[in-house]
Amino acid sequence: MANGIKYGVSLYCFSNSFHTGQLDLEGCIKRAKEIGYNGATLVAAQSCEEYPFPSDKWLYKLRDTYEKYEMEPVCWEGYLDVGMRNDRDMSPEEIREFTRNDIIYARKAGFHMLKSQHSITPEIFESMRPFCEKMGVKLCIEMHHPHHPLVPVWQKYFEIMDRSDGWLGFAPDMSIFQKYPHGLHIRQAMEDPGTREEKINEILKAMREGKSEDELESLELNETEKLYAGEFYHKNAPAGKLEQLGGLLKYAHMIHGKFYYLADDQDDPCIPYSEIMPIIKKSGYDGYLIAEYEGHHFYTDPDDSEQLHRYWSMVKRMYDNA
Amino acid sequence: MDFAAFNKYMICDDDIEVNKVEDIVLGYEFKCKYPTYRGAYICNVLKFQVFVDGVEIPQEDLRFGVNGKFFLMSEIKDMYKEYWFTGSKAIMRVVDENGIAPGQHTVKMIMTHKIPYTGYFGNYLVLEGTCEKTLSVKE
Repeated sequence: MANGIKYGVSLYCFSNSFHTGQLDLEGCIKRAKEIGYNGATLVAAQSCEEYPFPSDKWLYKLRDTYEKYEMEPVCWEGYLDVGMRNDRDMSPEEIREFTRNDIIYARKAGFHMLKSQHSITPEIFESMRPFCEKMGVKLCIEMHHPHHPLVPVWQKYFEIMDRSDGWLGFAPDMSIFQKYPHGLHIRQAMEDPGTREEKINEILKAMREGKSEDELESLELNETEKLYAGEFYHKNAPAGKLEQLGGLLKYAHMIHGKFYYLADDQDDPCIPYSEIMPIIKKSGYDGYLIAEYEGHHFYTDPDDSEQLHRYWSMVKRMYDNA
Repeated sequence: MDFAAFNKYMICDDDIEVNKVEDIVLGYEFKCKYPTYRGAYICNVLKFQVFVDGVEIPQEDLRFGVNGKFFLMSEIKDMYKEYWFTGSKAIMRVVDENGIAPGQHTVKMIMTHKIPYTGYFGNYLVLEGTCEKTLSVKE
């Protein structure tokens, strides 16, 4: 086994602070460092002011800011906004150009990894390898809920990764193992004036008991409660199987440590890190686990820094004790 | 529901400003932000609806301003090269030669928008975000 896992953070965790102007980009990097993280990814479509055509000046300033705080530039997190136009999806030529551009931006800003998305297509993914090698930038595809390892296109992607000498890989997002509503989703349901607290509790109880959504009929839910029941079930039907994870980590360039809300640093009832961390350790994976706090999609009042402290404390203990 | 928390940021707290040339009133405007964690190609906004004091403003009277340019509502759908950056304040201008009365007004905005990377199994997520605020007219 190599040196073991590394803990990093996505600057996306600070979405609320960034959106409201409480933190600028440098402030996000500084805050991540203060919390204790030594590596960080950046979501280009969020953080890059001149996106999708950043100037060299902006990119070199970003590189210098990472250096200033001794922050490792882990990954330039690109998007493939295949639906960016309304009249048609992106053409293969456009997907290639966006990917090529992102590789160039990544390299200029000091990153040696680009994250892309499932829609890149197997043909274009494989065709990018020579350019990746030339630029010294690895290319990985994020596997995000509702995708999972058994979605047919992923079998093709894994075959391509196998013959890429490590230049092409994937970034599994732990949301694919999400099994129970997180605290902020439950809070949203409870605070909705259209729901009754006891009914939301009954839905959650049914989930814990392993009952199917069809078995909720006896609860006599109103329309709003049914809406939340549907969300709870559909978002938390784990797309991936935990037993698949260990064998696939040889392809992982990084892991997205998704989480939505941690009430403490002991456990996450939503994503089963107590099972995930021992699997990661056993696999010998020695890349980054990138903390990805996403509670800001639901509420803006949880303190993102505190959430990141709790996450690190939790996953590190689970890894060390495995 | 995902992506809902930033809807409250869609209408900015800045005052409504009367749009005029010297003393000639042309309309009024308020500021708005794209209500998610990232920026957007403005064509991904499928529809803007604006209500002032409960009355919907006709689409032909709205102008959307971002990156120093102004667009008709009918032009938005084609603007896939124009990027509305995260947290950046855009302008929603109402063309109305009567202007707007001094004091406070209720402004509501409904934005229907497509998340352009979500086509996991062929369907894009389309959201409808609503924000309502009471704004003052700048004196």
